Amino acid sequence: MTEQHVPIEDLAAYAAGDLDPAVAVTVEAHVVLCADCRADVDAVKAATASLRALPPAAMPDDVASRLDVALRRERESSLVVVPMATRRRPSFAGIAAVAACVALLGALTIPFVVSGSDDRGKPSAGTALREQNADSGATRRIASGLDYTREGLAATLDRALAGVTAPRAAAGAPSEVTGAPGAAPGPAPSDTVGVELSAVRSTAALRTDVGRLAACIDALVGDIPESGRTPLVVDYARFLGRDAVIFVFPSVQANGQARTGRVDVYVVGGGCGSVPGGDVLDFQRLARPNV
Amino acid sequence: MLEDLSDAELLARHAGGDAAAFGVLVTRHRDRAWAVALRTLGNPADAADAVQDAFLKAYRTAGTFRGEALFTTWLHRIVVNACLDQLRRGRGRVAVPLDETAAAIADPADPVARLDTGHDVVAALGRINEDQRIAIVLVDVEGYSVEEAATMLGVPTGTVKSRCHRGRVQLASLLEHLRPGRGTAPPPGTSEPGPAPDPLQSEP
Repeated sequence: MTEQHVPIEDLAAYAAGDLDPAVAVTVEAHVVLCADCRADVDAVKAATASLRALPPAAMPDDVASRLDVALRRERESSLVVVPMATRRRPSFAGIAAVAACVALLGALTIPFVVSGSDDRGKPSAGTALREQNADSGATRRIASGLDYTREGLAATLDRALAGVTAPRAAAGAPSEVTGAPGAAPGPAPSDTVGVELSAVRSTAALRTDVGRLAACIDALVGDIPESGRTPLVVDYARFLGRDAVIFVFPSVQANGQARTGRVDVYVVGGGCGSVPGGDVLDFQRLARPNV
Repeated sequence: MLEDLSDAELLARHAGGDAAAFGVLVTRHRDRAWAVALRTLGNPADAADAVQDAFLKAYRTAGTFRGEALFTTWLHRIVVNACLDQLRRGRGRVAVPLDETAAAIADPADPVARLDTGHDVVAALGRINEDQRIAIVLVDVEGYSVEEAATMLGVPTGTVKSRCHRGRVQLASLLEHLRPGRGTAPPPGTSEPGPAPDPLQSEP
């Protein structure tokens, strides 16, 4: 009997009603009598029904908001190129985001010191970013208080990395600034923090609550490979006049490979980590040659 | 209201410089584009990349849409190609074991996956030949006609049908392994022409 069985693909075509009517009659005649072939037809029909019963998959909010910012960036005509000197930054693969958050908060709870605010003879922002990373292997934390804009985001980031801070009136909490400009400019660049932020700022929770910060980072980059989940820089600042936090991540592809020379910059509001979509105010992929 | 306009009207406005028109198209079609990418690629990270690539391409090439096809069909062709690009890029990756695939898809942090009761179907889908999988996603999961799927894939309708048939056979075989006791496998020793060929084998 074996040689008389109907080829399985013909059975699948029969199950779907795709066979030529004349052939279908022959197959039907066999299937009625053959339990094996009938079972195969039933299995294919059941598989097809399972596929049709899959629930619809709606795009998650965080993917939708990243798509929105990507399209907005496209509309506003894309990449801003920031000059950068040469030297490779070390790999951050293996550093867990939560561990980074804990370290981040730990450092931020110590008194902030104003340093590196001397514009003359400053290293380029790129140099500062790389040297900080090479030295500490950790996230660089800044509270520049600077007011970022979409168009000037890269330039403002460069200024923040160079130690420029907002004028005190705009920074909001001058009395909390400790230390003296020019004091100890070099020893701990990774702790360079410009301006203490008032606890009443809407982004305060992202500075003091490790859970919120971790949730925020997770909302932004939780779905990308681990090598792209540890921020290179976090700057507590402003964006178009409102409180914001700037996150700079190494840009990686879905397969974990770095997008050489690129960083992903997320600008988020105080709702990041507590509202769907991460409260993303802006997203830009910046060109950073030789990063 | 932009929301009241047809896809073709919105696209014409977009081409004419209306900054808001494309956003309405995105909102209207992103869930289906997402579903196709997620079911085809099997993981949210790759799907997010593919959908973003696809919409950016659609945004840039909207001027090439001539209106012979439906916008949905045109967009899905771009989505399908973005998915194929993702699959090509990830080809060097080690295959993920079946139960891990299911676990990843069943990620409790993903509310979409949490509602998804078809984990075994999704896991099995991730194991079949890519061409067959895409055809099945379009026709069986998303409910497009064979003709629409053929346009989206750029192949003849007969090819879509044949890929669907082969894919369903593979899927039926995998589901029988995943659902012991629920399958319709014949008693041992009597199964011909089964068992199905290696479920991972490529389409000839």
